[in-house]
Amino acid sequence: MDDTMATEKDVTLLELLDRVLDKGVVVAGDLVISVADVDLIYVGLRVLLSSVETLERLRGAPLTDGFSEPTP
Amino acid sequence: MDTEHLVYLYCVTAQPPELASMGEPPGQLYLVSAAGLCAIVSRVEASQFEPSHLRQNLENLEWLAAETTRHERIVEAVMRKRCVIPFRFGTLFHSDESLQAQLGANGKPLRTLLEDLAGKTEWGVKAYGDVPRLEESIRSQGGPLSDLEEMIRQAAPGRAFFLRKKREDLVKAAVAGRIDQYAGRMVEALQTVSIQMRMNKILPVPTVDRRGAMIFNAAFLVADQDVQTFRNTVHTLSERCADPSIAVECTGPWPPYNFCESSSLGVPPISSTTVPAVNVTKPCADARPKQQVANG
Repeated sequence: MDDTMATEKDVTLLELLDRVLDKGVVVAGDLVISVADVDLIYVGLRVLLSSVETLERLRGAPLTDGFSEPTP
Repeated sequence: MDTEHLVYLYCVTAQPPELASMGEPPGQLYLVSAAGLCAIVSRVEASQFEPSHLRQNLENLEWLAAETTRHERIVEAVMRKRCVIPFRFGTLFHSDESLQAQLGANGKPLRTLLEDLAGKTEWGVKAYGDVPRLEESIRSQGGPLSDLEEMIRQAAPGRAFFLRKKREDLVKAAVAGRIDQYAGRMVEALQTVSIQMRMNKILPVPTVDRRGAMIFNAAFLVADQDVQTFRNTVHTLSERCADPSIAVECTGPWPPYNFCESSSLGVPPISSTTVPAVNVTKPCADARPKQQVANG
């Protein structure tokens, strides 16, 4: 269906960092490293956003067996 | 205790997934079970997470991209087979035993969370606005602004300066109003087709990006049977907006990062801005958080 709608799995590193770095469960580690130093992350974001890289490219391998759509 | 390696936790499931189908090198991933839970972990070199290296590593975009992508790739691979609780990047343990102890201490809330998340995935919706273009379209709308324009033309230079400033303030306020109105419509519509919503902070996306400034950033927890409806709703909103200055992006399905708040585990949330990088060589015996006694 909606081919005109953006992305789906064509995900930018921004989307990934927005989740992986400061979302998700933070409880249980003996050590939970602090990667939420905002300035630090944005240094990276500024660099990467000048070219919108896709997760697929970063992975080096396409997500061929992506999630199947649940059948309604 | 092995000081050279640490146990890196990716995610937790109720039933053990088959690791051979994860696409990772054999032996890379292994399972640690406790309290009716199964943790998917790997051993990582401690050195890269040591404070002195970590800061450098985090500033190294290649390292950051590779490591966060690996984290996500593994969580997603497990997610295809099982309902997962995704953990934050860089959740590390000194040993399998200390991880087991944590699973034990958090067993009940983690199992409850897994039950709550079954049959649901996270979807991200972000909107980007071409602000100069939005401003331009507001300037060309007429109304009070064109009256002001007329006044500026007729005013003496000094007064014209202040009127222009007033005009720009009005334009900015009108742009903010339009964005709010649009965000409000999205929230209203998407809440009806999702189970939970989380509004996230607007990330300062540089304007070199073709999509313009981020104006909306939210995550939604969507039931599997509603995914198509959810996507259709985003699509409809995007079309109905009919404003070429605004672009909407919908991504998913994601592991439910945004819906695994530590508070739901009954553990005091750790403020990410105040937690220092922990010295990885520190013994863990007393680091087992006391706060988790309250969980059971």
